[in-house]
Amino acid sequence: MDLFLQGSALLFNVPNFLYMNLGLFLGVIFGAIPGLTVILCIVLFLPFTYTLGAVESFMFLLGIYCAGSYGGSISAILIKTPGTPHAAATMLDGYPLTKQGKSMKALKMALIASTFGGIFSAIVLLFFAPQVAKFAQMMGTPEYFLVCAFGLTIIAGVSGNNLIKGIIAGAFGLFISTIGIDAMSGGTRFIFNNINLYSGIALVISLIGLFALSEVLAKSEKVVVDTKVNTEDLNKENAKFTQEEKKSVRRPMILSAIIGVIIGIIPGTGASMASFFSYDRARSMSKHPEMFGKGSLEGISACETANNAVTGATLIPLLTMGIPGDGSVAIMLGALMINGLTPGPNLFVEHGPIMYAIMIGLIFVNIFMFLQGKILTKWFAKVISVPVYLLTPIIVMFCFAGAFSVNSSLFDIKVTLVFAVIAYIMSKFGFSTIPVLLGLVLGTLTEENFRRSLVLSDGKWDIFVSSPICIAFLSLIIITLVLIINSQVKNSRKKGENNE
Amino acid sequence: MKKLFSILMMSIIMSSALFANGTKESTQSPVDAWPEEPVTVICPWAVGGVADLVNRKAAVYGQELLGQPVLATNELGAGGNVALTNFLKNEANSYNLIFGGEGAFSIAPNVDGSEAIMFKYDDYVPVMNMYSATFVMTANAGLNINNLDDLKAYGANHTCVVAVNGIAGSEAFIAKALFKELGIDLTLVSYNGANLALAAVAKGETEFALSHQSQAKGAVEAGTLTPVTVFSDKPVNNDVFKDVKPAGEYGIDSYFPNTCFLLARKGTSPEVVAKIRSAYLEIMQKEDMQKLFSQLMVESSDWTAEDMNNHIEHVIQIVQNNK
Repeated sequence: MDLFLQGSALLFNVPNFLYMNLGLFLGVIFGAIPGLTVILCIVLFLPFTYTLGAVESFMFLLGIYCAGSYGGSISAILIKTPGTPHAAATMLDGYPLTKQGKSMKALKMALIASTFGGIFSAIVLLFFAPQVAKFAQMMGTPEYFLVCAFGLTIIAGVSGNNLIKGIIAGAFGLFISTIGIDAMSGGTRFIFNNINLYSGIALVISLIGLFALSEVLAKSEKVVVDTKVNTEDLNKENAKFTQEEKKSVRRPMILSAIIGVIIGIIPGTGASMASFFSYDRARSMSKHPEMFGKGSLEGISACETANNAVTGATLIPLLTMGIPGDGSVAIMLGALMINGLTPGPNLFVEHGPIMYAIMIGLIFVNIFMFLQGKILTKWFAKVISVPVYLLTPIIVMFCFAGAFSVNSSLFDIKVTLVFAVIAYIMSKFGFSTIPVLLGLVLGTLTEENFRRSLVLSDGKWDIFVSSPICIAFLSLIIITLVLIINSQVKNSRKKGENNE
Repeated sequence: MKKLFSILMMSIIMSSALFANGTKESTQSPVDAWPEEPVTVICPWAVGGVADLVNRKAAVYGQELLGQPVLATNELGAGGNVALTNFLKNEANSYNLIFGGEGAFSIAPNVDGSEAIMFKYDDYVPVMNMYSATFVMTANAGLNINNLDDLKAYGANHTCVVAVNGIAGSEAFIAKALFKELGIDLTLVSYNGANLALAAVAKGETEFALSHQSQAKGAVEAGTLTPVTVFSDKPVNNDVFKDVKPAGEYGIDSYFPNTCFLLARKGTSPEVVAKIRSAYLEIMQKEDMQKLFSQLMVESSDWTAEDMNNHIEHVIQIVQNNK
């Protein structure tokens, strides 16, 4: 209790809240603009924190991190271009709602769900960090592999109407993830003596091509008469939720918050996996699964809750064990170290008040994110009223700038263009590009953990049934696969009967 | 009118040529005028990492000691190799400097994928070593292994499982060299980062890990890991690592510290190199730089160019002997 009070005393001063809100504002902007990423925002503004204290700098960086996670959903909903990889799942239902004239409703749902997910994970961090850290300690390499393998089963849920095409697209994503140095052997794969391919293809670069630029290509086909939406229509839009809608999102939000926290504590998995995972679970539990992909509020609530629930959870392994869960958090590790704080089990003993200030601060970061989001959403929603002939070049410019910013490399812009063309061709042949993204997100993790498990077990396969967690995930994979095959058989029978 | 226009054009062209010449002259001004423009120091590794923190902190003193602002920047890709390749576009006496180390010059050219490396150590002039970090080997505390004698006894009829950050990283080659010299069988397990490697030891997935001292500090303080040896010829004795015996004391010499060289482009005049070196050596002695070094558990260094060249050669030997 003493630490709690000391932490509160450290947190509650004006500069902390100023920096927090500045970070939130920047995070929403960088998250919402396709091409600009949360990690780029953190990288750009990190030097600014070197002169700040530990709590001030962490409030600023957490503001960027949390708001960026929410901000990605804005462009996904409004212009079918996810600002961040994990907003790709939000796009599946967000954009159909925009097309139905319900963009304000979709944005509002994303904001509420993001805030709920963020606060849920902040509370878990504040009250249950030691217990969650113990659970994380029980998860080893074979468990990580099985979680990733379970994640790959989501491909079935995001394949559209054709599972085979979904599997092909997923396999393409897995293939792309093998480019670069093989972390387990040190050998190189498919780099063709090109130094730019040495580290593989960054997720953000492929995302920009797969979703943002390919959408521009698709739009360029259509004859633009006047796609401008009247701003009066936006103001007239009824963004209030009905009782039924409120009831329908409760269960997916709670479940997704739990999924987000569990995924968040696994290093390297990140928010993308959490949002797809939750989306898949929400659909399988929904009373209206047929609405998913057509503008389901349950779908948006699940993805957005999960990807923001990751934010607090990734801090648990960072603060308790010194393990950064994703790239953004890895940069925050530097911010801690420059303030003389070494993440690890003793951090709470030596710097208890600062840690409590950060953990309590995360709750307020989410509260202020909600308040800023409420104000900014109205302005962001007006994006769809910008004529396509103006909006498209702006998006393209940001996409190229974003691709270039990852490694300051023109080569990456070319890679983005290649991905855009591939995605465009895929869409022409009825392939969904979401499985490609899933393959890219999970490919390296799945492969590395699989091979590392076999190195640890000296090639023995029983390592994958060596713990209760392994057995639980293996059972889940088997059950999911049986259900997928069963539904495919039923569907093909139905089709056969209809044809007869 | 036509004549007047021709005269006007000629005078514009001539004055442009004069101006251009003037500019050229000013960039090729005597070496003692260097730098006439802001200097950029490129860190080819991650933002927030040790090298980045040192670069940004040191840059603050650029104006004071070099007479021009120093801009600290990052250029990522391929573990630093993309930035080092792009740096070759610079000419001698350029205002751009870059960090590099044994990873780029001793390891990368001698492992798989070396065909893609377009630079060599000779393309740069070593200015100074920004810092050295001594590697430490830690063990799961449950094993009760506190020095290399304990390790020899433990490994006599047992294959040791060692976690490292990357299978072709410095830690992997030091581990291979050590176990080879001790005559102990070893299984190397590669993790995506030193923190994950250390966590694997703490949870009992592997038995040992090699890392920087700062990375293992938290777990050693908490008692989940115990230090086995430091890869140095001097013992380490501080608040966290208490009386840790060095590998050098056991007659082992196939190890090296992790370094971060400040490099200029090949052909840069010795006077310019000396000027930068002198400024940076002074910067490294500043109180807040020393405080940062202490927090990051790295040491400042006054290595000469010869020391740096020897270091690169020494690491190449270790890598080639332990491929």
